[in-house]
Parts: sequence; C-alpha cells; structure tokens
Amino acid sequence: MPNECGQFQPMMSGHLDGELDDDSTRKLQKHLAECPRCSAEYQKLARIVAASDRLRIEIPPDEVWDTFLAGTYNRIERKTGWVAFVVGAVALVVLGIWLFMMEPWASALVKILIAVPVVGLLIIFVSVLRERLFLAKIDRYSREIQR
Amino acid sequence: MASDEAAILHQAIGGNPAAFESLVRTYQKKAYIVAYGFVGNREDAVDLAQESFARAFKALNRFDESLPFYPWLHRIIRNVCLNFLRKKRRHGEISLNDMVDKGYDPPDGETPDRTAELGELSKAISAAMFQLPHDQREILVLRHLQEMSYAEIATCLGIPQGTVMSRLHSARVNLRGLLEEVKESSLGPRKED
Repeated sequence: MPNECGQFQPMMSGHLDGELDDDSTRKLQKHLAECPRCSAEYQKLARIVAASDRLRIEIPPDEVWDTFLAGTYNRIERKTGWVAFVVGAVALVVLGIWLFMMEPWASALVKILIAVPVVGLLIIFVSVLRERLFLAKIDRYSREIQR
Repeated sequence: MASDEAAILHQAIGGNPAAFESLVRTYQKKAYIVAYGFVGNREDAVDLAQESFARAFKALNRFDESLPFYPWLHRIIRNVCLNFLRKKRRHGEISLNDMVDKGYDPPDGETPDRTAELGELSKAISAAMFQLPHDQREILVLRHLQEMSYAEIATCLGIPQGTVMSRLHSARVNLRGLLEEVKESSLGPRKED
C-alpha cells in the first residue's frame, strides 16, 4: 500500500462513523475518487460497519433485573464475611504462634521450625503490600484497572 | 456529569444505600452489555456485572467525585471480566452466544436482499469478534452496542479521540481478515453499492 494511502485508512472508519471533520472529509473523498484500491477498501469497510451496527445483545427479561440488586448485595455480604473470617483466622494463628513461642517447655528446634515459615509469609505479605502501594501511587484507579 | 448524578454519587459515597441502589439501577444494563462483549454469554455477563458493582461498592470511598462515574465503573467491569477470562481460558470453559437480534428493524429503503446479507454478515461478525484482542473487542462493543461517540469512548477508555479512530479501524480490518478467512466471497463489492 502506498504511503499516501496509509494515512487515509483510519479516516475511512472515522468517516463511516460520522466523526470526521469537514476538512478531513474533503481530503478523504478526494483521495477515494483518485484511488481505486482505497475506494474498494472503503466499500468493504462500509459493509463491515453497516453489519456491525446491527449487532444486538439479547437483554435478559425483567425478572433478572428485579433480582440483580439483591444478587449484588449478596456478593457484598459474602465478601465482607470472608474478610472478617480471614482477618479473624490470621489473628488467631498469630496469637497461637506467639503463645507457643513463649512456652518454656517447647524446644528451640521446634520454635525455629515454626518461625521460618511464619517469616516467609511475612516477607510475602510485605512484598504484596509494597506492590499495591506502588500501584496506588502511580494511578488512582490502579486497583480497578487491568494493566 | 449531570448534577443529579453528582448528588446521588455524593450520597452513595457517604454510605446511603438508596443512592447506591439508584446507581446500580442506572448502570446495570450498560454493565451487562460491556460484560457480555467480553465473555459472550448471558449468565456470565449478569454474574460479572453484579461482581463489578460489588467491587465498585467496596471501592466507592476511593472514587474521585470530580471525575465522571461511568468511566470508573467501566474500568472495574473490564478488570473483572479480564480476570474471569484468564481463569476460564486456563480451564477452556468459554461458551459464546451470538449477538444478532432476530427482531432487528432495518432502515427504510433497504432491500430485503441487503437486509438478509447484512444479517448474515452480522452473525459472522458476532462470532469473529471473540477472536479479536480484548481492547479491539471492547471498542467495538462501546461503538456498536453502547452506541457511544468517539468523544464518549475516549473519556471512557482514557485515550485520545485519534486513538479511538485508529483502534476502531484496526479492529474492523482484523474483523474483515477473520471473515475473509471464513468466507472470501461474502465481503466482495456488491453490484448495487
């Protein structure tokens, strides 16, 4: 494709969508009148756009929307429940480990064997936290946007 | 942003459940359409739209009220859908329905032949769309199913309008390539064109 034609390619879509300004429209029409290859390309694209305009999604019936909000609240409740469960469980485990470490009858070897995976988990937690904080700094929507 | 919506948003951020419910009712179908565009079937699209609102509810206190709400929600929906697709792909569980409305009302003056032909082409496009990269499929959904202008799409995706035009064009060129692979003759220039 000649270089000159390349610049008119995206403009074809803009024109078919009715989004091209007057000046660009004039330039595009002039080019299409002079270039049979781009003119044929334009016709093919026009049919893609016309067919795409007919795409429709079947919207679910009213009963789905009547229960939509309740379903959303169920999810919110479940998330809240999980967060409470996880926080409580972690706190219990930490407390249990701490109490065990304070026990004079437990051997140093057992204490070390328990301390190593706990330290590993701590390192992972700090690493994830640091990554989240870094992402939050560079983009206010970082927790929502898929990069 | 309309002042009514700004007031509702402000109340929702303040923890007013009625205001949040109002936002859900306003955007639930829009969210469904976007999710459908990503996953291609009704059941998953409804689930993902609900999940998106649940996440939006949790994140609402971080929402900047000076910004429009829908682009923010759209990004949450996109994130939720892409995570879902990643998991599903791993298990090979994606199922697709087509996106052609049998009750489509053709414009005045269109010949029955052309209506039938474009209908067939629409069906082929709805299947081919799911082979496009996510960003191209997303922009086609915003343009053709949400019927957004370039300016609205640009705001929604946080990209310049020129990028909207070039991305849409790339998506259509890729679509055409995919369709030509399936049926070369269906895209040839028509005599009446």
